[in-house]
Amino acid sequence: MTVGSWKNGIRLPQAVVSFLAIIVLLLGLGVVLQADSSYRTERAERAQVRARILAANVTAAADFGDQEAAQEAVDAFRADPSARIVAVYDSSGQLLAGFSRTGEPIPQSLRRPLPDASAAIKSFAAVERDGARVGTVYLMGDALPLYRRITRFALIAAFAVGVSLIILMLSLAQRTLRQANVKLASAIADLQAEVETREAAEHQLRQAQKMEAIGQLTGGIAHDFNNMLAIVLGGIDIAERRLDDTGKARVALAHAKEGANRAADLTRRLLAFARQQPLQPQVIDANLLVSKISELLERTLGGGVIIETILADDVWHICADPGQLENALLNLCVNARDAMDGEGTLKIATRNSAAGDGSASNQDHVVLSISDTGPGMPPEVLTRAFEPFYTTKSATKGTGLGLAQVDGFVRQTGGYVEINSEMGHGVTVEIFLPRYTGPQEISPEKIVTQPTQKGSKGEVILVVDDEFHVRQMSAESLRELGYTVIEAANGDEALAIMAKRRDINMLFTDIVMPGINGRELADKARESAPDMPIIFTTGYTSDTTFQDGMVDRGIVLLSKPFTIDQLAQKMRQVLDGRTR
Amino acid sequence: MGSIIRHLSRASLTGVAAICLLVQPASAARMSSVEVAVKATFLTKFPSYLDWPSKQLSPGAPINVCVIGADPFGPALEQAIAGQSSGGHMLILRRYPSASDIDKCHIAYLGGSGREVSAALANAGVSPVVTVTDSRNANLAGIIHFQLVGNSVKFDIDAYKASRAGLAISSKLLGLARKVRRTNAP
Repeated sequence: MTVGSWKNGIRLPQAVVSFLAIIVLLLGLGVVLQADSSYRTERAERAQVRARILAANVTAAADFGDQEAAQEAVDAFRADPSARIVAVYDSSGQLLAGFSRTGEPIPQSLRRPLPDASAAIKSFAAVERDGARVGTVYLMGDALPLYRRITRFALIAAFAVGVSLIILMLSLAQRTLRQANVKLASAIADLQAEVETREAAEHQLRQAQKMEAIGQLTGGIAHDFNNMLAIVLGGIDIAERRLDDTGKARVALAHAKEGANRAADLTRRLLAFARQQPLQPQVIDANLLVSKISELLERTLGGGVIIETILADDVWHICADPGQLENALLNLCVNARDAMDGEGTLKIATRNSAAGDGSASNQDHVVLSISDTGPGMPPEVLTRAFEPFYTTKSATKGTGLGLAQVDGFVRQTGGYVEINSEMGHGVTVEIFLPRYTGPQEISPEKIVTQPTQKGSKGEVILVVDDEFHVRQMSAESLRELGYTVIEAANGDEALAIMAKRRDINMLFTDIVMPGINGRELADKARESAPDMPIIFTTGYTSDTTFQDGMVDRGIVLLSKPFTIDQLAQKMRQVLDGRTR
Repeated sequence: MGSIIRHLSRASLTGVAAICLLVQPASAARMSSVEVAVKATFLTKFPSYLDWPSKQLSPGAPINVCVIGADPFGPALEQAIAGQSSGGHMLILRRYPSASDIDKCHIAYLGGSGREVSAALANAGVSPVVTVTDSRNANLAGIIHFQLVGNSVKFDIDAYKASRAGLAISSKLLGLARKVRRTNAP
């Protein structure tokens, strides 16, 4: 609160108001004193007049020295209650006649000094005859007693005191009002802030709900799509294997396969954004991953882009799906290149971010950051950057799913993404992934490609899938690879088959099924055959199956749609490695 | 009382005016010296309270204060009148043995016996002369008539007679009189 502010009208400092009140009081006092003084003067004048009247009345009495006549004239003043002493003196100053109301002695002679009576009003009047002084009248009157004077001026005094009090009270009221105003203003400001916070929260909530809705929708669609694509791709694979023709039919099939693969890629992206893609997290050394990627990037991004990697020492381990993380980083790098129009410096960095170390989180994170030297993003683009299908690229160049997919994946992994940009200074995207503190086993680099490995008739595979076409496709593909296949349409049927046949080498089951789902089926199967190898296939994950869509480590997952090569590889990996 | 007498003896008689007069009881026709002094003073003071017709007293003219017949005052009156004036008129003392000269007076003390006083009063008639009589001399009263009340010298005033004579008497003096006769009633 500043006294100098004129916002709420004229404000008088307390001191000024007090000063005013004192001035009013002093004025009141002055008026009282002045009135009192003039009243005394008036009384003195009146006493003087009375003395003169008496003097005129006793002229003859004084002149002739007539005590009785003088006494008579003096006695007339007994009717005046304010007259204390009335006396007439002759020309030589000797008392001729007089009276004293209170019994105090009447001065016998005017030649001696009169007793002092300061509160009294004393009047003298000469008694004259033909201009000659023949005597003196002495009149001593009561000044009005103090209390009567006070009573007399009480009204003025009360008025002055009242005005002062009113001034003080008004000032106090003004002060109280001012404080109330300040409180009100701050309350309004608080309210405003609260409303804004609430609006922001509501906006975030709406955004989240929108994302959730889109996620559920896309997840559902993607699941069905994946099933269908599994059939398509599987069909094409089988067709390719069985087709002897090397001519036009094969080219057509290749086109069909490419289209189906692109469709499969799109559904993967959608699932990633919807945080429903099946993830197989592994302990990862971020520096290793970045090194590997930067090699790849140098080949793919083109000569105009200089790649700079800054790797922090002793960077913590993280636990994430390495393939998806690679995808995310590649995605961001491609975005960065596009932002720079193929000319500029791309910086990939790793660092540790300790809990509370300037970050909003209370958890240790490993940060993977990608920066470009492009033109940067305007704020309105920045706020919508993670929205799916929002793109600044032309319709043919992007799907608008890149950042949304990265964000979805990172969140599914338990981290978060931050994007910062300043116009003219490029964009920096930082991926915060939670620090992994479990056992420090880093998965060895696996051989990526191997020639198609076939199975044998002796290897009996139980394929469980509620969707007939998918099941048929899976079974067909496995038979193509040389395995013996038994089919079951649901969990119960599968269990029944397993109870009868002891020669089943592997359970190959869908996860999402009505009745007993794949997970429950696996658990029950392991009760009778603990070492039974199991491969789960799935189009998408749901909370009922795996926590946050994360497949437990040690369980082998084959994401639909898969190629026959992927299938063959996974089969051999599980059967040969006996990775449970 | 004694102190006042002492004071009197001490004070000059010209300044005696305001003194409460105490006189010896009147044992005989002979007046005490104090009484004489008081009455003499009174005589010199009366003119201030009296008004004569202008033809009788022209402006600036002296006022004749007369003693007709026997003079009881002696030098006391001379002392009292010396230097006195009233309204611009000097007071002049005149002594006349007979009442025939009364018309020369403005105020006249009528001394002597009752017969002489009576003659003087008759002489004065309704002429504008303030006749002053003394109860010590006779019960015949002029316009102002000295009385001795207790120890004090008092006087009666015959305002009726005064008005008939064309004289005006100040109400102040009337207020001091013991008795005032205002009508023709005795």
